[in-house]
Amino acid sequence: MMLSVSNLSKSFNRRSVLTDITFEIGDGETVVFMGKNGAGKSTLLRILSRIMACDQGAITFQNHDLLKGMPTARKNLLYLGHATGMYSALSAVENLSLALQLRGSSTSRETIFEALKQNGLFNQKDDPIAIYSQGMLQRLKLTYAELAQWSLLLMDEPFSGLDDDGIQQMHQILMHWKSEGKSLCLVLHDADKAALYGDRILRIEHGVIMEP
Amino acid sequence: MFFILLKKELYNEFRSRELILSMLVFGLSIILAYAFTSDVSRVIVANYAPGMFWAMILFVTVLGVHRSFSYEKEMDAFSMLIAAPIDRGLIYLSKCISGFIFLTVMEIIVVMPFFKFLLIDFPPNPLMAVGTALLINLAIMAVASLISGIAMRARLSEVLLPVLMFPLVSPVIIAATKISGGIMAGDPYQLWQIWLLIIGSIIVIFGLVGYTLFDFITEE
Repeated sequence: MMLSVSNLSKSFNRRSVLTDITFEIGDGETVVFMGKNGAGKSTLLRILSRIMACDQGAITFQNHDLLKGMPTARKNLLYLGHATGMYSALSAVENLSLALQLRGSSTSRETIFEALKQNGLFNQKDDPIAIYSQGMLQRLKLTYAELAQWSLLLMDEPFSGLDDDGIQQMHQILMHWKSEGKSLCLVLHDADKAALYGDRILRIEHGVIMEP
Repeated sequence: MFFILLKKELYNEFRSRELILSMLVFGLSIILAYAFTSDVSRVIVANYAPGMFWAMILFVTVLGVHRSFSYEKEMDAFSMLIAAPIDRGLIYLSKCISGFIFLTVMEIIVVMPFFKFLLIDFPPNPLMAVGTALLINLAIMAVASLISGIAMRARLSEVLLPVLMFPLVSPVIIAATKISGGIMAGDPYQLWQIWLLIIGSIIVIFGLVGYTLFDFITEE
């Protein structure tokens, strides 16, 4: 089992956002979370990546307790949220190099250059990412995901802010990861896309996973 | 990993130059205000100078640490940082040491105008003054980085930061004033060593508390 979540709850200002969330993600499985805005999907992903604390519950990732274990327990877990999650004053190369180093990966500059070239960001590789468009920032996130080593990717609305080319590119990379047998946990709003990528679709309503 | 984080802090500042520049402009403005308003004898100014200097440093520190944590919030970079498989205590240490470096650089630049504009003499033992100032800077940053880490997750972090920081840094500023006053007056070490011990204790206590608690206070 890749990820096991049991009885996870979270509240903000005494308002319950997630209640007794329990689910599992198997090796090579893609689980898609759907639900209305404010249902708690993004909160769930941020708790799983240890950015946000939960009130109660247990998370086991690759047989390690994610909440009480060592930081290295989340080495194979990668979270990509709404925002880029990088430093606006630094260039794409500097940001990628930093993010990969923080994950304990020693990726060469040539490898980073090659990945940026493939994602159409090579010409702007030395510019501060503050001047990047939304689509370019999404592609930068994608480059990061391609370069980083992970077993489970938590991705919040991967298609938002992308143009047609970007959507096509995202589609290809998601299918590639699926074919490689990687585990994915996606938050999507589009039912067609959810059916296309998800081995299992879980609907969250008012902080509770509804029965399919 | 600590050096990667420290390099990130220095790179960010090297690229944006927002932190030291804002600290510097604010510091120099205060010195000018002091210079034009302290229309009293040189002896009186010399007596008050240590307090004036460290009060200026206190305000400048608020600016610096706020900026140091606010760029983490842009593009949600802090999420990438704390989601990484690293000891989060090291993030605190890197903030603390980088803040210490920025504050020291800023002091090196403003110290000469401070003495010149206020027409006061340099301390008789400059090495002692520099050594103690470095320790004081470290103590200020040990407290300020922890408070800033706590405040950054709050909605009104700009308001919360000074409200929390001023009372907690006050003991450092009082001790700093006593130490610098003693050095400026040429007092023997024995007369102000207790204040140096207080500074040392604050570095150890806040350093350990910050390193240990940063794992919990950084989570939303």
